[in-house]
Amino acid sequence: MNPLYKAFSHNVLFNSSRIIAFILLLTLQLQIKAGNDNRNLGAQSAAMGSTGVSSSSVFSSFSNAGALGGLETMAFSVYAENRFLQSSLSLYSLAGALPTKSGNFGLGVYYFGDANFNEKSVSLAYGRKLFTGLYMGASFDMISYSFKDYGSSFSPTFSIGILSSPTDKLNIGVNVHNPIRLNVGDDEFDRIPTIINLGLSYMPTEKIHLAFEVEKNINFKPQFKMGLEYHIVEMLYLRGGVSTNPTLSSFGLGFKFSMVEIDLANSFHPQLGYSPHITLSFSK
Amino acid sequence: MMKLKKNIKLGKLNYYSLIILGLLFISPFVANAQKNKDKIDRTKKINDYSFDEKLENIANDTESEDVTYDTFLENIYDYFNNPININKADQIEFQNLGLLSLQQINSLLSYRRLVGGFSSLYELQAVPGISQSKAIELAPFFRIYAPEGGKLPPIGRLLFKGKHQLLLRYQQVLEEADGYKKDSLGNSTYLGNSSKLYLRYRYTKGTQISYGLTAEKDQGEEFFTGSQKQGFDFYSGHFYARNIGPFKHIAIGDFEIHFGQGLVAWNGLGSRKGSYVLDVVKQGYKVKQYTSVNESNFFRGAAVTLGQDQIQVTAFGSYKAVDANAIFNTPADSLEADIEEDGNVGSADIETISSLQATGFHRTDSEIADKHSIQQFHGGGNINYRNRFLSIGLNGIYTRLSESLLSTTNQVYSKFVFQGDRLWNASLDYKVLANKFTFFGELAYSSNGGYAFLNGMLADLDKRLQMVILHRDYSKDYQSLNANAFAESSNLARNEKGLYWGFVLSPLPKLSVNAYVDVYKFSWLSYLVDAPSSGTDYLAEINFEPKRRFNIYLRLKHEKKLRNATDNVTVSDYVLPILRSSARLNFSYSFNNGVRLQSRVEASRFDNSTSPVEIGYLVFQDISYTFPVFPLTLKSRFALFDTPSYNSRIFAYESDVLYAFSIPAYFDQGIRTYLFAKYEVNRRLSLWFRFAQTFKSDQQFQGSNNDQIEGRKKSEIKAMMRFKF
Repeated sequence: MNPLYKAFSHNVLFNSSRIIAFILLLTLQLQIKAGNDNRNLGAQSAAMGSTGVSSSSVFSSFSNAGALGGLETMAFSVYAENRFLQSSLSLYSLAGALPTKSGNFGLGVYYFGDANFNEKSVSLAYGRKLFTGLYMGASFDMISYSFKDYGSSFSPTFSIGILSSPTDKLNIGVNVHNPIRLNVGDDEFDRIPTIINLGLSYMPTEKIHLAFEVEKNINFKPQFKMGLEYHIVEMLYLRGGVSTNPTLSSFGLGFKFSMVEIDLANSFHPQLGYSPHITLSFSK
Repeated sequence: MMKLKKNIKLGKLNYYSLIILGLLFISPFVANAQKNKDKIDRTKKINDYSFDEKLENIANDTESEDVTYDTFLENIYDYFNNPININKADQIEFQNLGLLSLQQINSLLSYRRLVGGFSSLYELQAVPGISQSKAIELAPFFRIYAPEGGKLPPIGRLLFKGKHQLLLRYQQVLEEADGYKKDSLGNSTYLGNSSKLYLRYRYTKGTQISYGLTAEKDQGEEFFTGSQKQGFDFYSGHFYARNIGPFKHIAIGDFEIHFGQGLVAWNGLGSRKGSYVLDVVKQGYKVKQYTSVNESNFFRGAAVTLGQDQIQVTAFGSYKAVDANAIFNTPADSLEADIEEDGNVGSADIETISSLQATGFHRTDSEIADKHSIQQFHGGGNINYRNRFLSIGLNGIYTRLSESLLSTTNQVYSKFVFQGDRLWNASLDYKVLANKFTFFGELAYSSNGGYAFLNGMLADLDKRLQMVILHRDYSKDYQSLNANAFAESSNLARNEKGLYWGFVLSPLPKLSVNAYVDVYKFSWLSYLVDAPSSGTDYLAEINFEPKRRFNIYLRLKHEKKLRNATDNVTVSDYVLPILRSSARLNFSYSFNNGVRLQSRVEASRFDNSTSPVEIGYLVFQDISYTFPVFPLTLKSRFALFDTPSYNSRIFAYESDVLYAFSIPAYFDQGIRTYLFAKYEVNRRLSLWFRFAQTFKSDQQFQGSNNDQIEGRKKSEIKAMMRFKF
């Protein structure tokens, strides 16, 4: 039985097969990772095999609060994803980052799902440079799950992230989301998943960015991801990537004008098909 | 005129004398200044040198929760606090340090002879075979200048004016295991409480004198009550001295013996297959103090070594009570038997023993009944001849048990295992140094007619390539109670033939590859293997150090062994291959200001030819910080692991309080974290604290039998104090 369902069991009437079918569908979704346990948001990340813990971007409020400390300018992004072309699996997100003298602040929200089931989250992140080569940060996340007609849960949790640069061409990033296994609802067995992302970014030249990452969600087998970005001409980035468990391949483009950036990505699942992603960013 | 001349002469003499006298006066200050500079360099090195990192390197490929490295750690601490005089030490002293291979020692001694002596520790890197990073690692253990006064201080100073140390450690699992639960009558299976206590006092004077007392109570054992009226369950005391009077070594109380390559007698850490692939040759002093808490792996009595530089003779005798599973004259006798106050059985009623127990646990009624039920006598010795190129020794040991060991299970696989009440072993061991090659080995014989041969060669083929080949041939009926030899299966050097080949290749300055291949076979049956069998082990570790204090390594291992098929229904078991592999990628990097990070991803694979293949994973991040001024070090880890079962378990070394070790197996699905702190209150007092917790998301219980804990969490705290005076 879907663990999320048990959280609301005290509110639930059992006797509808439609509910059971829906719940089973949710379970199925979780197994094929269509639920949103993904901490690496943004079309840039999606194009690169869903890596993202070892780079700094506006979405670092979700993926690595430490990496947020590496941003140098104020920025604001809007992101939309239509997973497997299903409107009930779409995700929308807004994120902003503000660098200040005493560290960088980030605020991000996302909404995943539709009226029947949705997951909403707000993250407030703070990251700063501790010294040359090390950034550290934390984010305070509020996550809410809602089932239509049955109620919603509202849980606060936090994440800790580190971004370090052992050499000037190499970054290593780590992010732990929900380390203390906070509960959703009353039942001890329903917990927000604890997720650790460990990744590496290697830039052999200024134009090439290689990313490798492993993501371990407490409930699932690890995901190994790889992404490549090539800054081919002044305003154009080419991206591609692949990830395992499930096997997804992805590719994408980025157009960078002076203050605006548009990123497009598309990922492909052998049975479930395409998922388009788009990000629009403004930075000073 | 002449007077003037004389005067002038005197004047000149005076002038020169003044200069000479002046130099003589100044030189101690110069030497002192140099010594102070050395001290300053050493203090810097104390901050730079991380014992924990060194220990982690040595231990990070251990695949067992029971191995402890406390004697290794204590040994290098002793030398850190009393550095070796690099210009005066002999071969054996360098060997005893444990950080140099035989080839490197040989190279260092040749270099020393060539240049007439080291004038600075920076010269270590000029020695062929010692790289710059190795030289930096070794420097804190050596000194150039001898301590003041060459003569031996009076005996009073030696025995009382050295350094005293008191250690106290407390350990506790927070959740209650089944063995501690009280039944309706108020009794529990484990008679004592679940805390583990360790107390130790030790005195050292340089590396010359050591004496001390150790006491330990394991979790579940009683304390000053019931079966433990004397307080702790295990007591150990030792007195050890080196180069005192006519004695090269003298040990009274508890001591360790290290003969040859461990085929007849070797207490303590054996040589294992690991990423330090060349570390398979045993070396060091033949007699050493015993300070560990393993309750069986030592001798109790006295040992001496006499002789001069080239010929030395060692003799030892030991008589101690050991735990054994006793079989009584008739079943009824065990009820009428003389149960003494502490729960032990009077030895007059024991007829034979079925097995010797080595765990040291005395928590339950049956474990207490086995405690010290028989006596074990050992006597032995060694005659050793040594010169610059050659070391040859003859070793012998005689063992006598107060009751006969007789197996009650009558399994075919234990047909050749030692039974009876007496046994002797003899061997010849050798080390031959020939330029770039070192040959080593031991040929041993046991009184029942079994043999064990070990022969090997270390070679420095090139600046960038070192190699070792080790061949062992242990007959199926070689018997020994104190051997600790290089082997795949039991360390008792029996029933194994194999060829081990290891090499270290450094093709580029920042890149090195350590690898070994071991091919072996067992000519007789073993536990869970109902046929003669064979196996292969491979390991390759690629180390890349792009810059100092930043290390990346990839370690790949593969093992193939044969074992009985599980759940088979045929009349006799048949054997099937079991394959175990693992791949580990590890990054570790330290910043100049005390922050150190380590990240690891590891996958394991287990295939026993019948059940589905299991693949397990481990991902963790460590972060540690040493405060620059305030004397506090903090370390922590956050790990997520996911393995289908215990079969695909993954081991990882964890930082722990001083002399305690934690190399747990990560298995099932869950999270493990720990937090560790070391606080040096002042020069005399240091405190350690550690909290560790495992949470398993897919289990309702942890552990098994009496140690089973209900629930998904298991937490443990450790606290330790060290007082130096």
